[in-house]
Amino acid sequence: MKSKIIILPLLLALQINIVNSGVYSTTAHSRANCVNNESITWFLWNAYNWRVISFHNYDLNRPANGYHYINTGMGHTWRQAAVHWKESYPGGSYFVSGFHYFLDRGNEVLDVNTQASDCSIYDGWWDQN
Amino acid sequence: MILKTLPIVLTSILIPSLAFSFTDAEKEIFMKANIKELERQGMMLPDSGVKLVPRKTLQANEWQQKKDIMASKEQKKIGYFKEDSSRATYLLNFKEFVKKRAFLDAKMFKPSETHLRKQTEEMVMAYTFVGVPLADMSEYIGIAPAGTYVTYRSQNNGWSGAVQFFTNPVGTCAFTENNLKVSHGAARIAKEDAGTEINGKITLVDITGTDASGYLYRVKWFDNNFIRELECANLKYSADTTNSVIALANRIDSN
Repeated sequence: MKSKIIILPLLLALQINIVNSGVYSTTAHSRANCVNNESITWFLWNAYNWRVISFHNYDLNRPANGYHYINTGMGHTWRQAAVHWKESYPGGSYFVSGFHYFLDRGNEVLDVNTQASDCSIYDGWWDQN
Repeated sequence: MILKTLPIVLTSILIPSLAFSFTDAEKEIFMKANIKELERQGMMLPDSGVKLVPRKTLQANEWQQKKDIMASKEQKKIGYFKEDSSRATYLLNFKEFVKKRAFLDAKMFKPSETHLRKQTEEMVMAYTFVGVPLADMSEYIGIAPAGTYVTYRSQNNGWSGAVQFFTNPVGTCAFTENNLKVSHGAARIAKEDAGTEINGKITLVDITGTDASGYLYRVKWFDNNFIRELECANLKYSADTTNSVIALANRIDSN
């Protein structure tokens, strides 16, 4: 029973189902303290050159040191995900900030900066289910 | 049974609501540290504007830069870059794609969701979206969100951009807008590529395609507030179509 209590929320929080993406255009999102901390750019089945850098801050007393980041590097894909699996937990105290870069025929675009401090089931992330 | 399943259900429901809350000032402290690190790495910074720079200073690797230069030369010579365009194929078959997805989109009704709808008012936008003049649409297919759904501001939450799909005598088109004030985006554009075709603004014109995939006529233009892109797909290449798409982009920008 205990394992069920843990596993079901984990599955909900991890949500790696491919249908959770922008379907008609590129969308970008960050989530924090969902078990994972993560920033993702995606456009279902439409691949582009994307890089996502996801900062995971956790220590306000040491802002210059109290973070780490994941840099996916530039890759041609329909889903560029900077994910730290199982880094936090529901109610955890991480702040996640994603920087979503797009290489457009050699030109550099910072499409969007995303920020999150919770795992809210907000729109654009879950609504393709 | 109820006693057994209740904890599972409660735990699942509670996950999203167990939110640790930061003040705006605390987030600002984190963001300053993050931006300092991005700067140290030579990455483009949020809200840093749209800049023209020499191509060699951009971060594309060598093979990509060679391909971009080749594409640019070929476009100047024959009017387009001869390579299959998956985006052209996508747009040319877009109405079929919409039909196939209709049963999924029908399940979505909230103004903040990502589905395709007919009216801009059916979406939650973080700003006032204007878009393509109705007079320039033979058929309006629909509008969907683009970018990110901003929730961390105290007001004007909503999508940072949108994409409109429509047909026009030039083909099947998509107009995408990114509001830089909402998205905190920026751009560095190769000055070798940039023109000023759209109302004197920094403009990129790319035409790519083959008879097999169709041709994508793409115009992208930049100012301090927006990155805007018009993509129109047609089965054939013609210089007249290029000019028509540029003229349409000018009308959208002036709308």
